[in-house]
Amino acid sequence: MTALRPSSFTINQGELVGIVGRSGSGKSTLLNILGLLDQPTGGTYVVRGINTGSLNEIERTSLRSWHFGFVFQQFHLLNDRSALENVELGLLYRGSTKHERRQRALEALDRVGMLHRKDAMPATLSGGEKQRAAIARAISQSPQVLLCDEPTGNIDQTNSDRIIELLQDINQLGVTVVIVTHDQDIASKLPRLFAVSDGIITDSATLEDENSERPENAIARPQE
Amino acid sequence: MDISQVPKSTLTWRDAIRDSTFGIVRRPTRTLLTALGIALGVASIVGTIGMSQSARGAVSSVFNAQLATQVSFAEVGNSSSTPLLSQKSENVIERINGVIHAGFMSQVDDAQPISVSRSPGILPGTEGSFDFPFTVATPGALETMHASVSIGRLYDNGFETRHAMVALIGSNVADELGITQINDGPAIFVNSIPLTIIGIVNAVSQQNQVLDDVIVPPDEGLIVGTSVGPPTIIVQTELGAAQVVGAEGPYALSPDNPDAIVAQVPPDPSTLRLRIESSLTSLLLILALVSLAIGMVAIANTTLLSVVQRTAEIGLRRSLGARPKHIALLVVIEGAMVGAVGGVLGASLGILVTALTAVAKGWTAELSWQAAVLAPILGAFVGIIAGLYPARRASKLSPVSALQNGL
Repeated sequence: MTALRPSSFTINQGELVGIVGRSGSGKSTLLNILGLLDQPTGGTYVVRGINTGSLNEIERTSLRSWHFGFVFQQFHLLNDRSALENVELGLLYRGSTKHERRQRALEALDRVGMLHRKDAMPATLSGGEKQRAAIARAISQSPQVLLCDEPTGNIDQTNSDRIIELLQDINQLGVTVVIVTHDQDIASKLPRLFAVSDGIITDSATLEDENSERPENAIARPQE
Repeated sequence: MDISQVPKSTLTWRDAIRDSTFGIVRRPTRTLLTALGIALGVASIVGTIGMSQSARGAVSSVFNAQLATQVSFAEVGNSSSTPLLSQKSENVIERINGVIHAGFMSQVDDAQPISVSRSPGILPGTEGSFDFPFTVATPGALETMHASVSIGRLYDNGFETRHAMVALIGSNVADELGITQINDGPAIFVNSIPLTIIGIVNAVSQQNQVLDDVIVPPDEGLIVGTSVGPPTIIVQTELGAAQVVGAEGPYALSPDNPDAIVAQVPPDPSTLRLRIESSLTSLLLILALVSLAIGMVAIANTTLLSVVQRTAEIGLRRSLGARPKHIALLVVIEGAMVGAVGGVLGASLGILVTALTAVAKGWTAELSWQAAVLAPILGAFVGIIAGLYPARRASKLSPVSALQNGL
């Protein structure tokens, strides 16, 4: 089974990009490939001039750790650790000292407006707070690229807007932000979209070049 | 940009241990339940070792009380016609620290038994001559060998002083002579000299051969002409003094020629008790190892289940830069920590069982410190072994499937 069909595109540093498509269309697969969590069976994926196809497991992991940050729909916070400890986990595999991890985690929590909840356990956090803590964990790594898989999928509209604003702010700092979403409102706020349908990737930048419509119509609604 | 410019993902041992500690400390119930299997196994081992050592101590006490306090001295290679050992030797030996009783005795060689006749007319039908070994023993010797009589009494220094011409007979001699009571003052004739039997010796703590003998005080022995056996000094010592008394005795008894005196000391009780307990200890240790193996399987199962439950966490860690070996390390260290907790619990439980058993049995509780200290290390080792397979499984999870399947 082919998850994604051949496609060629470039995402430049500092872009804010959306990936849209129906459930099962392959958008998460695309995100996983972009984040080096998965490998394409064919083709070439180049990150900052490095051909990722030639990397071994350690090199792929290191590149992932130092260049990509991840935000997941399910937050993936560890329930037995406080918000601060969860954020610190983002820097565990960087070889930094505990003091450095603590400082950067506090800064990241401050950035997302969660410093006052640093000692709270995940079970006591709202959905929006959990996602902000997860974003803090990701940005504590100072990633070049922030990959967000349905970051607002499990939170209410108000918090959803705040999360998107937060991601836009992060993008303003020069971080490339890629957001997988099926929310039309969110997609409409993103300057560039990749629509994935049956494994076919359509780049809005390309379509705009051809004076076509943006591919928001390809966005799937959650299946009833 | 070149990949060589990208720093490698790394995890220091310190951070790995600190990170693993979270899982142990923050989930105490799970940790304790997981550690329980190891705890029982380690408790079995510590308890087995402790009970074995305490039992050996108890066995040792018995040996000390019965055998390990008995020393005897005999002459070897005495070229002089004057014996080195005599009744006076009793007093010499008793001056050595640790000596409780000492006695002089001499046995006639079995090959030259003295002819004994029982007094005629007392027990009709049993007249005649018998060949019995003959023992000359001072009252001190009787006391030293804890001689007891079934009927009658032992002789003491008063009998000797009065030259009362009395004898004791061993219970086996009494059986052969058909003497069952001494109210009538039965006598035996040794070389035609009558000796009144005043008691039948039926038990001694050493020199068991005297139960086959006619026993007389030294003076009577001289009178009846039986002082022909090699002299022996038997000694009862205080607990633990036997080896020292055995070493010092020859110098006290024969200062000019200590080599002419040989001491017979009891074997080292520790050797004996080791031999006695080794088979029991082996059996119990096998059972304890089986318990530990069961504990290891239990911890392996729980760790495997934990890996399944934490699949999403493993996916997250991979996305954050953890290499497969970092994931494996996390699982193995947690296994080691759970094992160590089990080891500490097990050691405590084992010590408690040892102490309670010792109290119940009236033993002195004994447990080598090594057993208690090494128990947590053993638990950690078992935890590591148990964690290896789950760690391998965890490290082989792909980040994507871990993130997707762990939801």
